[in-house]
Amino acid sequence: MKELDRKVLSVLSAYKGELSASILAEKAGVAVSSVMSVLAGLESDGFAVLRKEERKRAELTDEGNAALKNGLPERRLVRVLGKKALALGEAFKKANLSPAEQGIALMWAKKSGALTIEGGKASVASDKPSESETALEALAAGKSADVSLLIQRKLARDASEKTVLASITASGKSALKDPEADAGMVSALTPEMLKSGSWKGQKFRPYDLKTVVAPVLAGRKHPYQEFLQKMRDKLVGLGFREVDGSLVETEFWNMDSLFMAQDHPARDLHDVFYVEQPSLGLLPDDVFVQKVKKAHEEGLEGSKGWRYSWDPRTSARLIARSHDTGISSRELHRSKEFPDRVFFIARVFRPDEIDWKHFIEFSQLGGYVAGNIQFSDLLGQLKTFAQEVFQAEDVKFVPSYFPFTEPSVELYAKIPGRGWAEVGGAGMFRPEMLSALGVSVPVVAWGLGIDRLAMVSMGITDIRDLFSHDLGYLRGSEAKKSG
Amino acid sequence: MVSTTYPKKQLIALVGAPEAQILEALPQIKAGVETVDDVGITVEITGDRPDLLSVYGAARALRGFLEKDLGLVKNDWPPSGVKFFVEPESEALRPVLVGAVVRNVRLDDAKIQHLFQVQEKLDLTLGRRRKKGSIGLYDLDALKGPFYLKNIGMDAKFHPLKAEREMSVRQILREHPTGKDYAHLVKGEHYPALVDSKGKILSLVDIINSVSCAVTEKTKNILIDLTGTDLHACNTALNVLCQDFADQGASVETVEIHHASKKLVTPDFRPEKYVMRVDKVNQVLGTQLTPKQVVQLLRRQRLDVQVGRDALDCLVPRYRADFLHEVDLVEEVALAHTFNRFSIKPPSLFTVGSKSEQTYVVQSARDALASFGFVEFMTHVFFAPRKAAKSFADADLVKIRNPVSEEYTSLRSMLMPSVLEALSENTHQPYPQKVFEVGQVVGLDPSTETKTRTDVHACLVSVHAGAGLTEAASLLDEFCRRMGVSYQLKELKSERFIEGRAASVFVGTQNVGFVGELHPQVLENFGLQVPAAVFEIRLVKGER
Repeated sequence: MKELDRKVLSVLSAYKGELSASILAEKAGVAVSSVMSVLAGLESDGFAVLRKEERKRAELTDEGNAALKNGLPERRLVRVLGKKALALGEAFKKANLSPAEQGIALMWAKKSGALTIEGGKASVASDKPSESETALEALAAGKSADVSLLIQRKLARDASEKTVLASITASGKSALKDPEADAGMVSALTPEMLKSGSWKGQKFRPYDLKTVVAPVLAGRKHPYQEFLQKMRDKLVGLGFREVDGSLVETEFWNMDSLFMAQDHPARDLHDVFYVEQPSLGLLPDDVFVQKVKKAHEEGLEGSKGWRYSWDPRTSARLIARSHDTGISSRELHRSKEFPDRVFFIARVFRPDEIDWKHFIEFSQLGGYVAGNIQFSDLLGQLKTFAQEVFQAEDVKFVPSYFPFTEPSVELYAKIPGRGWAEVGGAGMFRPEMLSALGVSVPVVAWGLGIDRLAMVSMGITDIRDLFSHDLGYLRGSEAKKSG
Repeated sequence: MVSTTYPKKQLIALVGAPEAQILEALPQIKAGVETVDDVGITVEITGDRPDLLSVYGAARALRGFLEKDLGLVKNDWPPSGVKFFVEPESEALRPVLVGAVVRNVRLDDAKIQHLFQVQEKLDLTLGRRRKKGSIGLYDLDALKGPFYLKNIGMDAKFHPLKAEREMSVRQILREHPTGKDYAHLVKGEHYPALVDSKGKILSLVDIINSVSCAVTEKTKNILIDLTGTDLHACNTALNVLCQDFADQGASVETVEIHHASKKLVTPDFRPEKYVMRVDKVNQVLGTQLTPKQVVQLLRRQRLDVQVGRDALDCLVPRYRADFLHEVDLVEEVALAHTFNRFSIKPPSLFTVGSKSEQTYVVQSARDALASFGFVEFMTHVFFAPRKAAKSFADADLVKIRNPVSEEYTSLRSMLMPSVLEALSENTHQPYPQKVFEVGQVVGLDPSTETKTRTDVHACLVSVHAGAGLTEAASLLDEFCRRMGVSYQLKELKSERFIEGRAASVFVGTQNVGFVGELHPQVLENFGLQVPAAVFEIRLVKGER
């Protein structure tokens, strides 16, 4: 036994219970990092037992400290209002809120019922401290607080500490007491022993098989990414060709080319993230743009169209793509070799409240089949997806509506252990859309919601944990505790 | 999508079918059932079926679907003699006015509640939050026609709904709850109002009605108007309301709308004619329906059909908003046939499956980095600029106009700041911490169609006591060999790195990334108390 090992072990033997690594280091007069490596050695020799313990703690972030000093954005807004009713813009200016803070102030003030907005003017409805404020102050004062909301708002971070607790084993005690018995044994075979032949007759210290093995910090892939990869493999196996798209798109491709009228409710600020800088992109070639314009204004292929004046500037606006169907229209415009079967897995963005059920960034699995294909084929294709992708026991089709498909259908699947769930939307692309794109064969298109399925496969219940960066979970050493 | 609640007893009575049968049929006519309780059935209605917003519309559709009534509802709505005159100044602000008279209505409290609910949802959906059209309902007997749509000044007074007293227009826009909500519609000192022949103000159009002619339980005869910008939407909404009243046994009558240059008679209730070929139906749906079957199916959808020589002539009621093309009639056939009765064919087209080039690159990169013993992170594309500032990274980000949180105001142009931020939340985990991410980033690029470019980057961060440029550079070298990329390093001076311990990575003449030992200031900014070495390089340059 090495001198340092003996020192640490004798400190341990002086105590009945467990000692934390830091106290042990102090008593033994060595650095914590070296105590840790000594302990690992003692543990593998079976002389000590190690246990990990976590102390839950949270601490304020820079934003949290700033909010504590100056007030949360919503408080600053409420403060400048006082008893007055002010136009929102004016109140924002007075409260000196940045554009990003304005949205936050508004959202949280509305949520806590602190603000009433009528006719574009804001006034204070309640100046009671909000849930966030109460928690913020409690945390700052060192009192117990529900910090989940603060962590969600990045006002606080999880600063839980892990400590390693060690205790001596029976064989540790005997090794310490009786160095003689241990004397003739070595703990490891060395190249020197092999070279010199001294291994002959050498006794090796036995391993204690009851000791918990040390975790290996190996490389691992992210479970969500692996899930998406598995989806890709399934689709390729079904004979589909993968294509990619870009995260920022013009409204032209994301909406207009899909025959979505410019005043369609899915195009307003509540449903799409608009890019502020840069704000406008370029439209494609004019012949194509004129066809899309005509489809909207007066219709193509005998359609009546949406009957309004189509605005090219609206169409050029840039957005963070709000769904994946824009990839279909791009690909149909680019490649006209039919039959064709295409799929894509796309990160898409949509404004929403952020909680355990909703997030603003998610993945869609979409695609199309173009060729000699009919509505009954679409239903068959959807049934195949339900079986292959969702392991469904049964499927059901319910009529639906999308501006770019007719007929439109929603797919319900009976999933083992989960029951009936809506798993996707589909339909046949409208003739107005296909004609503008110059596509002369029928096209059936579909989009499957796969994030729910990913959550099941990852064993999580909070949608935000799809993007988990908790190393304990990702290393596989800890289960994800959702919710 | 908008949800609405049907009074349950009333729906059952109107349809004349048991509840279970109704609940099963509702999703098939596009009213997706959300919840059912003792008194109501709440459904979700898609934008194409405003007629299903009311219990009468739902009953009408269900009675067809369940084959209790077939074909078009026949209407013959006579003229009422009521006239509207639209003054040119008002026409400039609200170009569309349509209206109707409904006589002999029988209202009670529940019916009025339902009527107002339908009105509100029509304003929201077909009317696009009163932009395209907004509905007014008045007690006709409290008024004297003809009626005028004319501009009134800010000092004109009337007693609005939801107020205790008479108010001037100016006061309404400043003080009245609904007035304030819609004050933004008023630009300038004049605004259109509906006025009767005695000068009584019926409503400040699209904003608020007068108490003096409000519809109550005692109302016998109703005047309806819609003002807006879209004649088709206004006439459809008017037909939805009128058909509901007609279904209840009231008499609907038309009115005349006189503009300076034209005259309309509304509601325009003449069914629209569409032509559909039976072979088109079978070709789109994959069915073998006979003309007779198609006719029967369309009649279940409350359409009338005449069999022509080559095609079917279909008559579509005006309360339906969703007919643009022959294919919309094909859908009606599919709906009546019901989706779950189709004989389903397994996929028969053969095509060769393949992953995209990008996916191949991403997969090889992830395989390589994980094999180096690194753990994969997956961070959001949404990004907070403070993360860039903390790591002295590019602040020229693609910004979002309407973010919902301070955490997500831009799109990431680089992976490293998000990875460091994630590491800052893992300081309690054992070191060494070795992590990577491969993912899409978005940068500004004025030369592309979207003025931006989505690229794929790979980023690796190694955090431990001995982390340094040597380790990161060897890993980069091995990574590039695996990816088949030949590169050169060039000296890089940056606040992000310890001086003399960083390099730019060049492939040919293009700067594709960096490798280096993070500056203690950066570590401090992220609350990291252990040295870290990183590399990040672009793997795929996007087209846009």
